[in-house]
Amino acid sequence: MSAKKKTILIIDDEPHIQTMVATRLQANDFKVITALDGKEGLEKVKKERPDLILLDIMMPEMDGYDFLRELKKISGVNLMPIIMFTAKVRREDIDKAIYLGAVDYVIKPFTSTVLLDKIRQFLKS
Amino acid sequence: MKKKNAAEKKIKRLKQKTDKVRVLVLEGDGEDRWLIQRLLKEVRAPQFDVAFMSTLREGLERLRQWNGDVIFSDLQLPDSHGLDTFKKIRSQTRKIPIVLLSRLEDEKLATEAVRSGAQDYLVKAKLNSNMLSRVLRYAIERKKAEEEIYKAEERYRTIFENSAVAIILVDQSERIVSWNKCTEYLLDYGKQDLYLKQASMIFAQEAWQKVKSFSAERHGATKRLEIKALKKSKEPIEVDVSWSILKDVDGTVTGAILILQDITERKRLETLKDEFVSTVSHELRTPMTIIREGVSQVIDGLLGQTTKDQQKVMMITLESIDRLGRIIDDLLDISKLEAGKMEIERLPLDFVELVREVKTLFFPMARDQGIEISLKLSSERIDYQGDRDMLVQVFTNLVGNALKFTKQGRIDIEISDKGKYVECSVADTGCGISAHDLPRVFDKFQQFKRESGPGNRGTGLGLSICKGIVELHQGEIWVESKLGKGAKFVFTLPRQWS
Repeated sequence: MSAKKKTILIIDDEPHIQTMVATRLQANDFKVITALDGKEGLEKVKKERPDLILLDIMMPEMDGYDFLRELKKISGVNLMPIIMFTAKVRREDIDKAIYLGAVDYVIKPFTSTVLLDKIRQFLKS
Repeated sequence: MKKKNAAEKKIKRLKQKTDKVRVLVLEGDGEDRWLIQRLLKEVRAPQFDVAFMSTLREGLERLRQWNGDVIFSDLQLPDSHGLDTFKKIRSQTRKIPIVLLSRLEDEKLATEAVRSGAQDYLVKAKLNSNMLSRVLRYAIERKKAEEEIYKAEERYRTIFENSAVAIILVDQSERIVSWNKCTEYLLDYGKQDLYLKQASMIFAQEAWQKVKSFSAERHGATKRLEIKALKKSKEPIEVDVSWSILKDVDGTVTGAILILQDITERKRLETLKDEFVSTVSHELRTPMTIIREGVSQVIDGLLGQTTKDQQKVMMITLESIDRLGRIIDDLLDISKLEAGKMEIERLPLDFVELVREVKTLFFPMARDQGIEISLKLSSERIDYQGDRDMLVQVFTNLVGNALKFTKQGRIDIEISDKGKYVECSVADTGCGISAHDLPRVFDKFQQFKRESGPGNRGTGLGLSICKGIVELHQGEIWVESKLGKGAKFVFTLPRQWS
């Protein structure tokens, strides 16, 4: 394996979701780091510079929208793709995230193929 | 015994009351009194119960407790003269007809009194019993008719006054002329705040224009406009409004009726329900995500080898989880559709491209079932402006249903451009729908018997959602089917909308 493993940051306040997604991603050769809310997420972004972020919307402390707003203030991360990973299905909720800088979304409950396809698509470009 | 006597007397009195015509005569001249009495005796039917009073004072005194059928009065009484006599009697009693007895020289005065509401006048010098009986008959008929009108009006007034909606009557310059109790209660206005004020003050300027253009004539009595009205304090209140123009026989606008119904509580409950449904659906998604992914990982072998039986059970579990997901999605959609919260995004789209995508989506499943899906398109490109995601959902539901109910044969998706509208249909060669079930296919939670076959179990909401979406696009949807002969779902989408 010559290529370095890509790192994905999962920001979600539900530990079981993190476990499930991490297992799936690790089985597909990704390195996974996790954060339980937006604040912790920002720390991890600064420290570990992940290649892609899976971001929940409804979280305590700092929600997904605020995370997106705060992220813009950090330099050198503007190309980091963020895929919304949410149980919110209303179009306006998704649109708001896209407006704030997310590239795509995956709705919970998710299908692993859809999730993996989207992750690969944005890591390639 | 005493009691019985009293009762009998009462009956007798009542009988007298109903049988005899009660006449009050105000006549100061003794000779004239005698003349009238004699003439009344000559009148064959009805019988009279006559009371004579010689002064206005006596007459008015009597009228306080007298509830008779007709009043005769001379305009010239010892204590009152001319029109004043009539006016004073009239002010004492609104309902009893007044017939004036005039002297020859008073005839002009008497006609004037008739113009201001007297029943009629009789010139004493020309008086005879025929004339008297005719005038009496008219007076009594008029009184009866007025009583009927009064009763009918009273009935309507009671409905108006006690109605739980605010009813406001305005004149042709939109000034408030009449209103019911509920109006004052709903908008916090007092009597003096409303009379002859412009009805527009009840609304913000923009809302008022909407109210007027949404007249009942144009939209029918069943449709209502939901809008915010303003209380006296300018605090907004959610109401449902109807505005009906009043016209007289020749079509001249005489005013309008404005009806407002308080829907604050209904709105609050709707919001509560929406929030509830959306919270529940959101909350259910998290555990479902975990269960689904856990099961998927077992199936995918991420957690080690599984036996064939374990695989089978896990697959069924996964299918059920997905069905649960669809139910939640559908519930959310139907709740939004019903609350009128679903907003459509009108964007240009091409139906040909859209149905090709739907076909591609169902192609693997149809192939596995041995069913052909064919497209019949009226042209290579069919432009329309509508909500793409929602229209895809309509086709997905219809084609999904068709696949579910069709064991063998084909599914035809047809789109034809009809100029003013686009007509779409999805027809299958499946089991069809019985005449009994046909009227209920678009109702919520209606699931009909089907052969157990491939495809996912539905939610019973798919067709209600289709109907909701088509109606949001101001179109119509219907079904043509016979048991055993397949089903054809057709919907039309107009190119012009309001």
